[in-house]
Amino acid sequence: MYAPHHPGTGETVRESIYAVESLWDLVLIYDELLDALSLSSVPVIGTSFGGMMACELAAHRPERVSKMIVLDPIGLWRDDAPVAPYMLMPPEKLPATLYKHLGSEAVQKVIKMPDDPKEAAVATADLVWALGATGKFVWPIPDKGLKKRLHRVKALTMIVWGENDAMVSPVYAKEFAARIANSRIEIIKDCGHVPQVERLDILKPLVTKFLDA
Amino acid sequence: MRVDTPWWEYGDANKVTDYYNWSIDELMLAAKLGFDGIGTNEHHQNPYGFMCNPNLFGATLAKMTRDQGLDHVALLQLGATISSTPPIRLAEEYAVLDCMSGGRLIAGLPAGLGNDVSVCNGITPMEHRERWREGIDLMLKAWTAKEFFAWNGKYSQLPKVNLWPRPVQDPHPPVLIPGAASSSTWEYCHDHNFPYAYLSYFGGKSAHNVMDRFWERASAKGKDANPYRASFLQLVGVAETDRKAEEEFGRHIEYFYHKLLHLPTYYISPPGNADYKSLLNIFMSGPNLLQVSDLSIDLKPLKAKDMIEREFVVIGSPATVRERLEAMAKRLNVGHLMVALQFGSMPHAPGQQKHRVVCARRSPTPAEDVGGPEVGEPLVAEAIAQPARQTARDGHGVTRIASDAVSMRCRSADAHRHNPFPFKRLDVKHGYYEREHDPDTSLQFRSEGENGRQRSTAALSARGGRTDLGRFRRRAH
Repeated sequence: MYAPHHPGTGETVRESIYAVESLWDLVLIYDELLDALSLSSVPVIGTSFGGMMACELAAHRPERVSKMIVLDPIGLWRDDAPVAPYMLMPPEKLPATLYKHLGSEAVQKVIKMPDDPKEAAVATADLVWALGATGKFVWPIPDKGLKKRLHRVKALTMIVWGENDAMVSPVYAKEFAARIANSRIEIIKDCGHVPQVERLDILKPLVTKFLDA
Repeated sequence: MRVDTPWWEYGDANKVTDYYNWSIDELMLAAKLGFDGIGTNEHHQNPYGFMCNPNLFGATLAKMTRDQGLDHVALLQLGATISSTPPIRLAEEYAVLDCMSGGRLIAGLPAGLGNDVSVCNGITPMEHRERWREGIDLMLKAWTAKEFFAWNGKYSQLPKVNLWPRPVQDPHPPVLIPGAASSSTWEYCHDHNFPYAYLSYFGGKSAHNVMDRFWERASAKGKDANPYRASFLQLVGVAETDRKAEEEFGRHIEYFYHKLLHLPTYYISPPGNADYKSLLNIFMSGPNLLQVSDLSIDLKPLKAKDMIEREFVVIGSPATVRERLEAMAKRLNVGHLMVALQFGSMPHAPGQQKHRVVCARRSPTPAEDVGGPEVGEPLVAEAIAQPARQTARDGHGVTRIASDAVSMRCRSADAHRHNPFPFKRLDVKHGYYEREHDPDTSLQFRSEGENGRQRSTAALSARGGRTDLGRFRRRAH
């Protein structure tokens, strides 16, 4: 399995994001990554912004995505259910928007900052930078035309949504499903925006079964 | 804490009619009182400041100052926000202002606040600074290019640029870069020899750290410590005595800092706005970097007396204000002093000024001390003029600008005091303007009877003459 880091995050040079000027550039980076890895067609899984990028790749290069799983993706917009303005939130409000059970062990493990002040400073800077580096492609409204491209997706698709997602309402599950021909929806109960953290117990068998089928 | 102010709950368009007109009146008053310049700025969608385009006001002031014979007063646009406006349009508007005013424009080219650029105008935070830098390059070229040119930028693509009109000032109006303590803005200023204006609202004392670092960066880049590389904005209130000043301004200070100034970090600088280095810098430095000059801090626990003590606002008798401003200008090494004289819930300024004129009559400062202000001069002119003279004796004079941001009950005659006139162009390679070092230069205020009205005229020279506009090189016609 390959888990590419978005430019400017993870192990990439932070400033590398400046060279990626548009969403189109970013889609082509994924296309060329598959070329470089000599992978003609692969299953793709993405969450939130990553879910949107999975859809973009599958819409631009339908033949390269064999199956697709998206977890609470952004990328569509409804005025009656606006995506939470996650880049314009007080830092303390963001975790509460992402997770249903902030106090749970799994969530605490993910959001806990390092004890060392220097490491914590770097981690905080990385977190803000990651929001900026991904936000570059969706600011100020995460609706960059995907709705006009989703019909091109050929991959068998599973749309997974946390029932209590306060970031992107589960009503969007139907919006994605309506535009992707071979798709089905899985709503995960008692779960916020990040199922892989909050309800891995439910998500894991779902994903395995979907990929094995 | 609530950070957004709904118009329908708090706004009143009829009152705003007054605010806009009062602000213009107050800036005109500042021009008449002898300020070297008057400033207007751009902010959006908040009750603190809603001059959405400073050039609307600059154009009004250009005409009004001209009609009233105030042809020595600079118009400082503090200014238009380049990242969220087509830069070619701003090049045009600034050229228009320079022409309308007869060459009195100081071209403020701020990067602007994240909330204005990205929240109110939808610009991607990560592109904010790139757009700003490219926009300035385009504006300078549009003003100065001898030939038509095509512009193939990342954010502007123009098939042919042939700007009409071009500015009166040659090669272009002086540039000033207002900023809010971002180190990458200092780097930019030093690299381009543009003067920097630190728009802190927390006074000179809290600016030591920031300005020291500004000068350290200048030195590291081999730049001199010419004070005209730097400008500082200070809220100022003058009354007859220190005690009266506290009584008079206390509640307005609290109104301003408690109700108008709060801006959370995630609005000022949404993710992507500050570059990664700056982020590391901020998070590594902890709370000591800016001390209080962070608009996200809750200021409500601070009362007026605390804020006066910490010199967020410089208030007091003319002597006190003079002394503090002088010390501040020296400590920060700033050559251009901007003052906001109208802040918080202060009533319309002319009433205030009238009051101060009366005070001045009752307790004139000894002539030998202030170089001869005449009876009847407003205290504020007295207080501001003296530091200019004093620092001039010390080797550099201080430019004084009054600036304004129209606010709800805060028509801040944000009188950004700037002094364009005693500027001279150093040379083409140096993009900043330097005031002529003339120790004899002093600011005198003359009172003239005009149609039975009292009128103060600034005269900027010991010879008592008008400011010498000839020091600006004009485009030959």
